[in-house]
Amino acid sequence: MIFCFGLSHATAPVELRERVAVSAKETPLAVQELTALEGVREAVVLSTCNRMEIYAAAESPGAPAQVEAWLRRRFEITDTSPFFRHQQEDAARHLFSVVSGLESMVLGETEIFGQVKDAYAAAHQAGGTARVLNKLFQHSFRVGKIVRNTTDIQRGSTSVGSVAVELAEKIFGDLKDSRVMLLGAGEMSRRCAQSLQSRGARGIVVSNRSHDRAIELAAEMSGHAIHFEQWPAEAAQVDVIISSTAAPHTVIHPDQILPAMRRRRGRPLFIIDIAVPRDVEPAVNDIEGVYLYDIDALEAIAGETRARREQEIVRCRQIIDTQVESLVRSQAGAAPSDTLPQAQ
Amino acid sequence: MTPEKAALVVATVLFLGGFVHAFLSLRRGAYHHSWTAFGLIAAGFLCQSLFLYWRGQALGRCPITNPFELLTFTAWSMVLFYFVVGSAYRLSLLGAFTAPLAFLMQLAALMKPDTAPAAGKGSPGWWTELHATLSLMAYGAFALAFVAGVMFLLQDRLLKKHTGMILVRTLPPVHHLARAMKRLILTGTIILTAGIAAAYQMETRPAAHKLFVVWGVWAAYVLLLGYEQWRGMSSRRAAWAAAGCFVLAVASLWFVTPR
Repeated sequence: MIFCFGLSHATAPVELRERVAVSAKETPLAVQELTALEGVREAVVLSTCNRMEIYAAAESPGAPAQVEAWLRRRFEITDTSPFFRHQQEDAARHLFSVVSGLESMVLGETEIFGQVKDAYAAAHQAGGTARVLNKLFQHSFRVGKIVRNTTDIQRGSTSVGSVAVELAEKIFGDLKDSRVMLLGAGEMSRRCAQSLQSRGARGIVVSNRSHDRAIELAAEMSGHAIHFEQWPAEAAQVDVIISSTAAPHTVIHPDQILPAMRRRRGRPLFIIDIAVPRDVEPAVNDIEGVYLYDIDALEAIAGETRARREQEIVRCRQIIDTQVESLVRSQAGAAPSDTLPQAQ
Repeated sequence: MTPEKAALVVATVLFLGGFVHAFLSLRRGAYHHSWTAFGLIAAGFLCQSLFLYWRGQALGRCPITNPFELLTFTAWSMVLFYFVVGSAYRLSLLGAFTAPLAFLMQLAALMKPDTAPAAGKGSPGWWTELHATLSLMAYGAFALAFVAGVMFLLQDRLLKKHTGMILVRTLPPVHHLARAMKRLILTGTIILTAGIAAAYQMETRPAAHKLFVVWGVWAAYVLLLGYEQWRGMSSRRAAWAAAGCFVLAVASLWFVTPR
């Protein structure tokens, strides 16, 4: 039989998740301890910041109780009620959902696919997997790919930072040669700039009314600081301006951007205004080659993507159900203890 | 229907199929999943090539002897540039916009009477053939620049209005489209320059009014490039100018083609 024990961000608070977390270094030992339990033949331990799950193949009905007892001992916990339990095809269905990103905090995120692959590889290397779990996990990776390629569950961006990156790539293509200027030294603009940096943007310029704060942030982001009065002159040299000053009025006007655009010779300029009240006069968007997005516009795009992903859940579940049936059918010819009968 | 004509009809249907498939995929926001539209355009291009090869063999010269053949050759050049530029700039969606134009040009060609000269009449001279071939290839590049310009205008509008994110995600980046459009105009202008130069080597120089029209098209594109290079021009204006120049180029075909 196959079964799964676990908890996630949906069932347990972070304190408990921290307590039962298994580091990559500890994973082989945990797998060996689990497979040494009476009746447990194979085991995979998946531990991320949002979940800890144990998948096991067993030859006796008492094996789940053995694993539960191991959990209590290993992590010194008395209450295992936050742990969910799935058996047989429900366990397979759950794994397929996890791999597809349906159980993730950010619906449809792709990082979990790699994390499951790593967990499986670690268990395999530790000698914790054999025929049953090998087949189950290999199948789950196929399901993850099918879901990703045939639905929109992973399409688009769901956060302000990732929307900004997506738009920047739709304006410039490659961000490798792009330069970014931060107006204001707020946390949100810093995160937004980091997202752009992670995709290859370079040459961060920071301008703030408090020059000391600008120097501090520039040092943190390997960029350079300029005085606030200098930003209009610098605008011709950068591709993205992220503005988040605390000014009660607009600080970027068309008459400051127009001369910069003339010097840019047709190269576009992307302006992200994440300040409230807004920093950029809306008329700036009317200048040819300038693309202005304020916080509401970015949030609207992120919200639209989240809604679209929610709508895709039904299609994903249908694919997963079909794949579980396919797995059950393919197991039909296997030895009785390896099969995946209907969950009770 | 002769096999060569049948090949052209098949090419026309394939371009229509490529356009319909791309349109439906775009509506679903799933264009990136499919190679079907590319395959249909590639198959249409092969059929066009087959037609031009057979017709060239029959005539013993480059098959650009009447409006029917001229339109086919120009459409073929445009699709050829699409394969070169589309892969170089990763502009796979360019095909979705190239297909309808190729379909319309092919349809217009099929509606023209096919009054080919008798087989074996022979070449009108090397320079004449070179002049006509280069000029039509330049028009193919201008047609594709027009397509890239239309795509740029659409993507620019969507990004400005903060709308249609599904289409925004599918269309190529505005900067890439602007660059592809400008390079296609430059390529077309260089080829047209060579084509005009070839006209001055012909044994019998073309009629003055024809040369005047071709020089007019050449001047329009050179002005566009010059203004963009020396004075700086926004990509949006360049796209509109490219569209205007292309309309001029298409209209010029009426004056310069044999009827």
